[in-house]
Amino acid sequence: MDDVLAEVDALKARWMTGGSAAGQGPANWRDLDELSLLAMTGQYTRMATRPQANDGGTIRAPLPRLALPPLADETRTLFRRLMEDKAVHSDSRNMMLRLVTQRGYTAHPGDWLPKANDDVPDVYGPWLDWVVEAAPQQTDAALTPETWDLWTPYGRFHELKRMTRDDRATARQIIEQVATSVPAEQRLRLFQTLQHRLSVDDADLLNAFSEDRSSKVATLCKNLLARLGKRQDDAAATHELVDFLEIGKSGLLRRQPKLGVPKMKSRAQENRFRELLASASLQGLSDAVGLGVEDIAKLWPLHRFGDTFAMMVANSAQEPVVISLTERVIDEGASHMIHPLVERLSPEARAALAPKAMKRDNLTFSLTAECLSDSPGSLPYEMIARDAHELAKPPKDDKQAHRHASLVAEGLINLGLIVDRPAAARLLEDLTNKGFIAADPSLTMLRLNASLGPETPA
Amino acid sequence: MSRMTLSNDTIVALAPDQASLKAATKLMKGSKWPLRQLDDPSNLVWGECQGSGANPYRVVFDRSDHGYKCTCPSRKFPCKHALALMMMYVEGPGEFSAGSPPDWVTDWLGRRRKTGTAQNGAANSSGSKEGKSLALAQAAEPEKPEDPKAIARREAAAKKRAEETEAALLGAMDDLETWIEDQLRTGLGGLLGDLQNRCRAIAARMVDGKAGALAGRIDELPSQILALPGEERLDALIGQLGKLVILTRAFRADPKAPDVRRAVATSENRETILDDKDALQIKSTWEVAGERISTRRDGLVSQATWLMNMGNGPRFALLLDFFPATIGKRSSAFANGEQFQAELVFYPARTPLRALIAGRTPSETVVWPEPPSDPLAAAAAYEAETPWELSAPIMLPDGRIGLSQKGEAWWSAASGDLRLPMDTPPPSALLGMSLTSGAALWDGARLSLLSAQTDWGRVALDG
Repeated sequence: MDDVLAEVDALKARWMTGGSAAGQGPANWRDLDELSLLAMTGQYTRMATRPQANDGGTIRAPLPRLALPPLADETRTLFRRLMEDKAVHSDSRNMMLRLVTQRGYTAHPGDWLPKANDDVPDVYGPWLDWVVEAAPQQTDAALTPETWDLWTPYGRFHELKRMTRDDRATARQIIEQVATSVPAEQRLRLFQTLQHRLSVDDADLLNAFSEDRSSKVATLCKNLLARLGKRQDDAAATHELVDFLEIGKSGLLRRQPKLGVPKMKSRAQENRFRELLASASLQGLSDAVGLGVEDIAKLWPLHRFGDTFAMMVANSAQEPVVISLTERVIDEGASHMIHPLVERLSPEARAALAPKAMKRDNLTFSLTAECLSDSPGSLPYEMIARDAHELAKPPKDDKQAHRHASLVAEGLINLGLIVDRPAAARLLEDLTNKGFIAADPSLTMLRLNASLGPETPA
Repeated sequence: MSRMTLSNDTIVALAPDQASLKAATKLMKGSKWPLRQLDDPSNLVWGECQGSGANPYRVVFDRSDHGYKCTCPSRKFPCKHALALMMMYVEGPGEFSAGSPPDWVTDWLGRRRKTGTAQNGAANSSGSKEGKSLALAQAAEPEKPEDPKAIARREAAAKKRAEETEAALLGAMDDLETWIEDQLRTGLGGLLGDLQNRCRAIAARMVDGKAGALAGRIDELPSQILALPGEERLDALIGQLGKLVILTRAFRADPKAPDVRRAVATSENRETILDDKDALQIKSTWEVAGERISTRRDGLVSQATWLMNMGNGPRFALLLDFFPATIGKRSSAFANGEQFQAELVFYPARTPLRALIAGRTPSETVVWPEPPSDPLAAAAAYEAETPWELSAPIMLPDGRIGLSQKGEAWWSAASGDLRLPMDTPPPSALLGMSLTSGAALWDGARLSLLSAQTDWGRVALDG
């Protein structure tokens, strides 16, 4: 066989460089004409040989089964369609994953797998470890700096988060020791575990890493210190920022404080202002302008650099001020500012804002969805039906038909994410009676919600 | 919802011209429409009309505003299929069964709703009826007795054309063999460095020689070779050129052999196959194992749908359609994994594979048949009968997919005695699944997985 292979290889080499190979090759081929020799060579190579895997190929560990069953086939179709729909944004997809989990299911791996470090419901933890090809957990011992590497990547961060709730001092010790020996991305995740239930006892640790060589780690530590009122802003930068602002008083009898952001002369000035605002802290700004943090949140003109202002408050302020600003943003309909503010709030604080958001929301239900992002599928029919029925009304102006259709499409997605299961079923019936076709693709999120129940077969 | 009345007058007004009406009346036979349904609440009427291709055209119209959509490539709006469906509805709504709008109908509806206008068919009931007449379209054309001399002239001309075609085809075989000899003489290294230009030139000569199918195959050769790692290209090129030689020799030996002629010149039309009493017909439960859609250099899109037989007879069948790339994306007639009862009629061949669906009905889900222990035996048998073909469908037994350090994917049999390289890495989830069985295409060097049964259920890999 090796001889035949060698002779066949010689034929190929001949043809590669050019020239006749007639009369050559394996003995019983030598009476063939050139083209027949070519055909024989091709077929022989195809049937008798095959590419070999140089390194043997690695078979991965089996994809682990999760604590909850995967979606049933019929529901998978709806889920897959929504995952592939460009109109469903990543935040909505994440909320959909939480909805599915809340109802007792997981995605099927054929339809979706998380990527490393994705922020997904805890049930997908084993898949997060599988995706990064983590070695299995090698210890039952408690998480300590010494056992850190023996835990799986997902497992150790999940345990650390629990410890920041139940044994924060030990969590701090682990962070302090482990942070010195892990890459920047992991250091960032370590300090992110301290964001919730922030305590003055965390200040020393945060100070120690506030000049970390990773700017993301340093910024996070400084922001957390700012929330504790323990950050010293750069004086020169703060003064430069204040110089842009208009601060005064208005009114003749009751002199009310006034805060304005005047029009700037150039794009370069606007960029500089934005940069200074983004890196400031609310307490630092408050100290510099002589106004309380609550006053600044109340007075800032939301139409002027509102998104940067919201981000700065979300990063550096304490929760009560963040809540105040969020309420104001909802009242004034400045929905473009709400996301970073809501992200900062605890699930309880978010849910408490939902009734206010519902009153101010438009056809998209986006404000309500932001507030209920941690508790999808919870709103009962009675609270939402009247507003939901607005989705079935035609546009007031035919010229706005395209925009109206976009708002309705977004509204149906968010509605499907926020209502409870009985509400989803009733709304499907209501909307169908009001003119929607039952199989209309825009109703898919509601249909998914309505199909996710304890009796849905896995 | 209010409904604009659909009548024959409305249809005549909608029709672009008399020729469309005439063509539509010819389509008004139930046998051409394997599916006709309606949904009263939504005012939607839809059907599938069997055209000349393997996949039926999908047609839908909205009774409320006469909007319509058809998947055929016609540039007339509405096309004959839409007109025919409307006419059949007006004539006999009772012939339409009640049903829920399928996905492709609701997708169309969704797109209409987003743009706020009727897409692909704005309602235009105020169109003119001038120059158009349904009665004229439906009238049978009077039969004129043919002059025997005219018949004789026509038959002589047809005979002459057939002889010229045969001569052209044999000439094309000569040209191709001479070209291959030239490439061997001057060096395949040079050919590999100039594949696209040289293949384009010889493909053009094949078109001149009426060897259209061969031209299309040669046109695709460069992209197939260049998709491979450098160290595999020479072997692949020799393999493809060798198969072209086998094909030219097979054609010379028997130019009338239907499978050879199909691979060189042109395929038979649908009616010829369906009317062929000797054609192999298999009634069984079939599953859509997978689909491959590709845009060719000649501007056609090739849509290959692979069916797997859940019962007895040939394990696989191939539905093959071509349509112009200019008509845009066309949705598939079938969903991967869909099962149905169907009667398939196979194109005549040594090893039947390409087929047409003569009729189909829904079916209960049936489990996959037991896969063979040697998956390559079927490929070898197919190769032995049709050695000019480039790939064969096979069933895989249980196995796993692994990745090499270079990121290349390999399917490994659970028995440990076979490992086959794959053409592309699969979705990462599949690397963690045990494949109890698989449907794939094997081209002698690479496996292309269509779908698989796994410990997580059925997985589809459409490409």
